[in-house]
Amino acid sequence: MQRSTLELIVKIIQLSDIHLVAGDGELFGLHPARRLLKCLKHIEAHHGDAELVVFTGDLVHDGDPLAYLALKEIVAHFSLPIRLLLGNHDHRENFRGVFPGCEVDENGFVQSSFDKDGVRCIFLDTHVPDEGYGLLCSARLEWLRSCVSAAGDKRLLIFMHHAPEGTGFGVPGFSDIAFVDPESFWNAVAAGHVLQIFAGHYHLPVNAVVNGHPIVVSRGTSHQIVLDLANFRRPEFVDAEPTYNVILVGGDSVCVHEWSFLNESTIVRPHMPK
Amino acid sequence: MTQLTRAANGTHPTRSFDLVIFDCDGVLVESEWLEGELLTESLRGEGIEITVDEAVCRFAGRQLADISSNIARELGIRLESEFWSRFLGRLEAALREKLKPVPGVIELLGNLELPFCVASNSPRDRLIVKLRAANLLPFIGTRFVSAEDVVYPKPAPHLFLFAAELMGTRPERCLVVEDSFSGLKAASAAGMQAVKFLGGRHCTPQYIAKLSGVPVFGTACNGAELLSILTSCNAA
Repeated sequence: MQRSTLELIVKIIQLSDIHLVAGDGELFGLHPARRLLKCLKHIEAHHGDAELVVFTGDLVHDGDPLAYLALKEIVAHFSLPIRLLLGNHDHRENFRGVFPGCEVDENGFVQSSFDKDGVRCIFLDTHVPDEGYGLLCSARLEWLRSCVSAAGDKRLLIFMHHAPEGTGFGVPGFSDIAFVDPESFWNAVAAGHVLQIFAGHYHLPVNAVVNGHPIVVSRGTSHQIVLDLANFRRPEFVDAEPTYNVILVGGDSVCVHEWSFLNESTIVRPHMPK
Repeated sequence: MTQLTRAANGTHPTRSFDLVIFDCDGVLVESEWLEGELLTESLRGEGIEITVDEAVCRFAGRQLADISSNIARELGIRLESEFWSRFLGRLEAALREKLKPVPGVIELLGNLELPFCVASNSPRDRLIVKLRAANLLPFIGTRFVSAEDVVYPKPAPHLFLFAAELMGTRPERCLVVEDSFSGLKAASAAGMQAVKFLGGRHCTPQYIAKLSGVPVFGTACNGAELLSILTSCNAA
């Protein structure tokens, strides 16, 4: 019977680290715009019922307004509601110039929330101009504190480009560009019922528990980084399989499916008619 | 489970189905009327006077390319592609802002015991916009297929056959709910029985007259009648 508990579940899609460059330009020999288009088509084909599609930062590679215009053109033809967050490769003013209707907090940071069936999604802005690391200044932390407090007993999903973790998860090149002052983040959300945190930034799939809370890092849709734990400072980029995350939330449970969209696998056993 | 018996009221035979396949436009959502209103307005801008009734009567259930060639053939007016891209832009906005479910459909989907899915001649992105705008996605989830998912849209049988395959149901165990001639033809070509649903606002007497003579499993004029048919056909 189709009327399963799935219908009580909130479905949210996370994609990350698009790194668009203007036009149909290449980045490290890859085509971020073509990959994004394929990703959005795949989401439309399989997850048209999702409540929201969240882009967790590094929308463009170098903050270029023309790259934001390219992004705007692509998402204009997308049929699902989206929420765009910023990462270290973004540029807040250029982004807001191209997306004047984007949701921002009272200080102009690209922070907002979304409520559905007992779940509150909180979207944070960890961007620091001209820096690779991420942080939440006191104004952003204050907004977060009141957003958490206003959520009451809603379950919280938090989306942010830089995961609230200070060491860089051991990923080559990331120890200097991780999240600064994670303690202040954990204090700000301490009063809430945080179910899970969703981040990008690392160009690798990471599943972690930090401060007792699960964190999922989406590997993103662009280039990836070789997981060479002996190499601290010279990351290598590879053309590995890009993915997006399908997040299902019901009650106190969260399930995250990571799904590859670029190359459909060969079906080796088709589903049989009943 | 496949035996045919007479329903208590004697109006339609009773048999069991494993799947209900709904058309979207004009069955689940009031898009035929909305599109008819917009098309009437847009054509007026080109000096073509046509009423909304006439527009839905002629064009409901058709794809835009088909509507365009129909206008060229019957009215002798060839509309430029700019006309259609302007029209599509207005349509997208109107669908997002104004589209309502057909009365009774929310109650129907909420109470239907049979598995169901949606098969629509819409492009997939516009179908998602419509189902979302009318707040039907919580009932339907991802169980919908669009014209883009098959090579030939309705009236060819492919869309209904594909929907049945996705849902793991044999065609003869499917019951289609349709409001258009082309949809009923597609159901018949797919070897499926169909219920003619006339609950949408576009179902004016002229529109209904066009559908007469098509053999169907049953006819419903509103959501409650449709629920009763879909419930009673599986009660045996």
